[in-house]
Amino acid sequence: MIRRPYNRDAGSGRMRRYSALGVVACAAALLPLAGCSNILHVDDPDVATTGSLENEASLPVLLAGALSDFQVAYGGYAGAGGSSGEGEIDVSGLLADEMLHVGTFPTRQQIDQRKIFTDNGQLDDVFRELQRARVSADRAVRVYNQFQPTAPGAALAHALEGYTYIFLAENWCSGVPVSTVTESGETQYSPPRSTDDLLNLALAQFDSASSIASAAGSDAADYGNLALVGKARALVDQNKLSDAAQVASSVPDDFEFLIQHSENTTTEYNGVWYMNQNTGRYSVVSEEGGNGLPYLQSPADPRVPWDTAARKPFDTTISLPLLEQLKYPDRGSPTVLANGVEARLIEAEAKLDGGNSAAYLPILNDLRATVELAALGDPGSPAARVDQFFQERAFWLWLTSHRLGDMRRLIKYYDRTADEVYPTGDYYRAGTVYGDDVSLPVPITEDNNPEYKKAASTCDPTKA
Amino acid sequence: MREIRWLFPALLVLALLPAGAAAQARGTISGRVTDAASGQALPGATVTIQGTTQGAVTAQDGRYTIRNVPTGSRTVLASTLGYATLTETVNVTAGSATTVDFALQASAIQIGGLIVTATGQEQRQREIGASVGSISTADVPLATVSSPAQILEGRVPGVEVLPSSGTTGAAARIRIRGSSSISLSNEPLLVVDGVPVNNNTDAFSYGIGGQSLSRLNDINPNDIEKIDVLKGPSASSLYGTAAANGVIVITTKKGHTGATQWHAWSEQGQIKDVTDYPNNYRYVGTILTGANAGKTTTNCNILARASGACRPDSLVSYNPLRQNTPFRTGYKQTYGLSASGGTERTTYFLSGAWSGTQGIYSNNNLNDLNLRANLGTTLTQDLTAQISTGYVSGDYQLPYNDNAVEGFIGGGLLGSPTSKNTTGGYYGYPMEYRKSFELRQSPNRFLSSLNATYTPMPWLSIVGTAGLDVTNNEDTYTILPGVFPSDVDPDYAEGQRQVDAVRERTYNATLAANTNYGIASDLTGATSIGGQYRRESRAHSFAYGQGLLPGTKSLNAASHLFQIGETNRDTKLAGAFVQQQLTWRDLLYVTGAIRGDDNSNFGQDFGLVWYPSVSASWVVDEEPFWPKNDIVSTLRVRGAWGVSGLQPGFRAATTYFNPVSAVVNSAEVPAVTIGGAGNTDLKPERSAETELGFDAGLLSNRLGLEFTYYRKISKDELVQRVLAPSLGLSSTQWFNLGEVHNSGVEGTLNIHAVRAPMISWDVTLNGQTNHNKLVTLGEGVAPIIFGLGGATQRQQEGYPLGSYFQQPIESYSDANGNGIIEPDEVQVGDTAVYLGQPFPTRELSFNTDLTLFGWLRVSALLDHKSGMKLYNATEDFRCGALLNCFAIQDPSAPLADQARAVADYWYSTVAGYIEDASFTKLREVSVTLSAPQRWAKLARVNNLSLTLSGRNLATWTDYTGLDPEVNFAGTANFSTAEFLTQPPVRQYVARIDVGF
Repeated sequence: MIRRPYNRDAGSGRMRRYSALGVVACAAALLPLAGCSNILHVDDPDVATTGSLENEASLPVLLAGALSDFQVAYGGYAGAGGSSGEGEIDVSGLLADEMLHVGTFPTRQQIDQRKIFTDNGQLDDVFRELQRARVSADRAVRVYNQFQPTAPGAALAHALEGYTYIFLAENWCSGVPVSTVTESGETQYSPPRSTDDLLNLALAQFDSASSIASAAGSDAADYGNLALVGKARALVDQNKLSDAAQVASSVPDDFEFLIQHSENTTTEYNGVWYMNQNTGRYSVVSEEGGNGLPYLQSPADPRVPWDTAARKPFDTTISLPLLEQLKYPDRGSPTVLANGVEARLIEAEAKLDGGNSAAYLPILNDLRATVELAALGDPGSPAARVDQFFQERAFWLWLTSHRLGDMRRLIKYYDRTADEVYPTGDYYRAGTVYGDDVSLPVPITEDNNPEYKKAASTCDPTKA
Repeated sequence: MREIRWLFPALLVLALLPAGAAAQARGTISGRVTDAASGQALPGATVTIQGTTQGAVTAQDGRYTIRNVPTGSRTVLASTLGYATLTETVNVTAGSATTVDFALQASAIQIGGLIVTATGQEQRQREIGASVGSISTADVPLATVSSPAQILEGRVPGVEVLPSSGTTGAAARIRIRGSSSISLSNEPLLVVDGVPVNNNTDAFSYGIGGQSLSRLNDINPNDIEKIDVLKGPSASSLYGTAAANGVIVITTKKGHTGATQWHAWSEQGQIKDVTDYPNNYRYVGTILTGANAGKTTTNCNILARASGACRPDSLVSYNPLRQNTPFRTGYKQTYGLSASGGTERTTYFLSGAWSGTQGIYSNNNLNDLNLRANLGTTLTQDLTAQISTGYVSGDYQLPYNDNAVEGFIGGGLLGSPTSKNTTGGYYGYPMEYRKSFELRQSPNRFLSSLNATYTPMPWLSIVGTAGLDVTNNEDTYTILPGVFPSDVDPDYAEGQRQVDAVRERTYNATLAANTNYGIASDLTGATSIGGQYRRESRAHSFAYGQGLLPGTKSLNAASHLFQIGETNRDTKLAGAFVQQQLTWRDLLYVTGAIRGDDNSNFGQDFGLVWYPSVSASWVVDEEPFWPKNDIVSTLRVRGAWGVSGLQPGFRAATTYFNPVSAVVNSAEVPAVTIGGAGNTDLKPERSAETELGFDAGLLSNRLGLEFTYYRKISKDELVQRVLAPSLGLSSTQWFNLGEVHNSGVEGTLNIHAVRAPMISWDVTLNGQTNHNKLVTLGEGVAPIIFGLGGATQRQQEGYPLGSYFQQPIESYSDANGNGIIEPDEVQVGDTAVYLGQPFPTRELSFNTDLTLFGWLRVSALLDHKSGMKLYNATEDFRCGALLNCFAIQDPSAPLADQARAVADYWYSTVAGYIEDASFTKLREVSVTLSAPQRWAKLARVNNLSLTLSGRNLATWTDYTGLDPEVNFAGTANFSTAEFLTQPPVRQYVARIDVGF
């Protein structure tokens, strides 16, 4: 912008020179604005804009994004300094009887202690991540529908979206909104949706996934089975056990769908490992609050591998040791989303018939034989059979975000009370007791959703 | 572009207005400027020709020459800081030299100083309708300050310098006339030698618990000539979309005509931690109930013993910060040399200084080399140029503290006394491990500006300014393998290394044409038109690896868990401005201006923003009707109104996806996740400020009084509206929703108490108030809840920004008389209520400067701040979470202390720890001994002085924490608490200055 010095001899007269100077000054002043559209252009090479992803070539990236968001929401990740990192497995396990809070954050203690405030920041993070996973999968579904509606990837996107509804239904209170942002960017706020509504939304996604997977053939077989287990799981949650068993029956024993983690980036770390072994903020636990199941046995049940950690809990003031799960032994360990074992357990539960039949036992014992566990006998009473079945289910599905939903089902469909199912009585930290929550509440930030705020909220975390 | 079309013809008319002026013959004015009392020369004084853009700066012998002066009767003004402006009228004849000497009288009131404006011109303070604070470093004992921020501390009313920590090198927050912005930085714009430069106050790549580095501190105080502070939009409007928080204008030293003057200096100093840290306590007792009855407990606290759970046996205490101390006595050393001088055509100022400071921790060290070369030259009779260049090369090392488990203060204050034999009394692990974290920054910064002034005619000057600020940082983080045992932290045990490369650039170009012309016999006009282009870019890349080869500290030796990343930011601004000043008899000045800006951070659906301003200044005492008297010797009344703005953050207007990695079919593939929800209508925040005030010189200008009232209304405040989680987007989205008001008064009372041959004593009192209020956050926006712990502070309508809110402790009493406050003996309110704000609402500083016998000078700065609260989170965490404070362990603690601890532990309210943080501090004391001239001559030097100084010498406060003005969050906009933060350290420095 620095002009060369004016050449005094170049002008033909003073007046002309002064006029020229004025013009030069004006031009200098206005050039920046006159050329704004060009000189203000900046490149932003680090991110992708919305429009750049709405095309066929971006489908793999969108599907990978859906998987990534799902991984964060389900198995967690590694947040900065352990201030975050939990996903559905951790948080549902914390409210249930799988995990114990051994850190210093009161927000995590609220969840473990079953006294959750809706302004709980940790809860807000986990809820947002799950909703992002839902919307991310939905985005992939939308673009697949536009360009490759029958591709195997479309089946996976549908299935992933279905599972986000499953988690919203199983772990969160009844009354969760599921808003959308349309293709044109328009916000469509959702009113609170009941648990049953959410399960119906899940069923619709799983049906779409199954349909696409069937048409795609062997390339999409795993996605088809993933959808079948998901559908059966949703039906179980609706207490439609025979329908669920029928759906599950076609899932092979050796089927397994893993959500991959990796050492590659901290976002890909296994959050269960991170919050437990790495940061010592979560511990696994046995018989928590009296009603908790005896997960941690010596020698360890092969389905519930654990050990006492060499390090102390993050909160060094507590006298408990840190107990670490070994199901996910390192930062890259994959988590199980669905498998043939779950399908068999669904079939077994259908045979349990509310506890009145011992027909479930052969299935359980067949499964136990696969890990060289001794066969179980019939405990004799309906209540004991239910206890036995749900303990077996809890051990098989330990740390896969099933237990909280099962505890709620015990209340809803098996006539148990929360005090018979959930950790209760004195909490292990001095002077504190367990509360009454049986599910996770919708965070207070959802009040920014006008449809949610104006509807009389049905979310009651003390109701199953 | 549609909005600015009308501006073209208007600007052209203004630009060409003076073009019809007739050519004139010219002469020369020269002379000498001296101190009227002593007769000594005043170098650096400014002499100007009224009604023109012509002027000169006096040389070291006080002499000046102004050539090319139009013939006829001319009014010549001489001014310099600390003296009353003197005016002489002379008749200039063609081809001849006219001599005008000035003997300036010292004055306690300043209206004659020169201020560098956004148009690139220097303007007399008397012409500016807004209050401008000015500090000459000649008046500041440099031995007492280590940074430009410390120069500002307590010396300019309206400016709050808020030190965050005693950690050597830690950045401070600076607020001018309160906080205007809810979401954007409230730090002022920094201008050095006429160009805006990088003022990043969070310039370290690593979170070390809260503190950070500031680019302001790259500037060597020894190189600064003066600092002007434009306190808000009423003064800074022409700086446009960056100046709503005020502007700090630093002018570095320039050479003066004359022989080379050498100046050498050296500082040697000591730095000590002098804080009285509390002990850690635990009551050992016997468990009385449950399965462990009869066993020993190390936590028989007051609640446990009151409930009968245990029987106390003995109180154990330990103070690891004193008994197993991490502190050392720090050391500061500085060596500097400068040379200045020049001819009538060329002046120069060259300096070089090396400074090495060892902080109080072994891993807190600062070393830097500062070089400066300022060159002024008269290229032709019409063309002058000033080139300023500065270079700093540093090596800064900071320790963990504050909200970091790796910190020393946290380790020491959160430990249990029963862990003395395992961790040395520290929390988690021993103190020695904490010394092993090595976090460094090695900046290389090149600051340069070119100011060229072309004056083809006396009434016209064209000023071009170009600036380049290049900062290249290498930040490194290292923890060597084998220091941490793997059972303490398996990741640290492996060794870790991260290297961050940060490249920051600020480019600036301004071109302005300035004209002065007569309109009528008593009325003159001055018009400026110009344009500015600015670009700020930042490129940051990093690499990380873990599992280091023992004996190495290089990424090359890392074995796994590699991470890489890159972030880039780029912001561009273009603006144009026009300013019109009308001057009536050099007594009344009325100025109007407008600036239009466009900016790459604005939303794509938003166009230009306009910043108008108007001001008036009237020097009443020079009016013919004003009776000349010694009671009110000088009187100026002034008023100003102006608007300026703040740009939205980079990418705030854009919806985007962040790239991530995902594993698909056992392979890492690129993926995306939602990054931010943009707003295409986003526009800048706009602050409109009105101020009214006066400057009065009383009792023959021995007493100077400045008073200013201001009111600033900030609208279109950017608010991060929290998005409903169910949308599945980012957590927040930016909107222009809020409105914030600031108002207050500022005053300076400057007293030349004694002026006698053997003694001179000056006293300055600076006072200020600030009333800050968040008027609205926008319809439907819930209060923004934040702060340490997640919910201790709020942005809530009707209250000051950053206010503390908690459920109050309504009452407590020891109802059962057992000497213990139990949970049912404390009543806590149901809802959170306002408890106070974190920023001072009142400040009063007292500066005194006593000179005896011409060779002994004593200076002191006493600073009082009040009206603010501070969350004492250190004690809260000790009592409510770690249970190692006296109040929760021992019933002999005062009941009030027990009550706040119990309310914290039992009811989760920290209201009892949000305390009045008013304080008075003796910040600086210095004693300077100047050698008499004959002694100096014996040493073959021109002058020789020794200064002994102390900093942070005493604090008076009722605040019960470690220190009432530290902040765990460093330079965070509003998050404020004392949480395991290093308190200020005491510093003693001896400085020798030699001139030759």
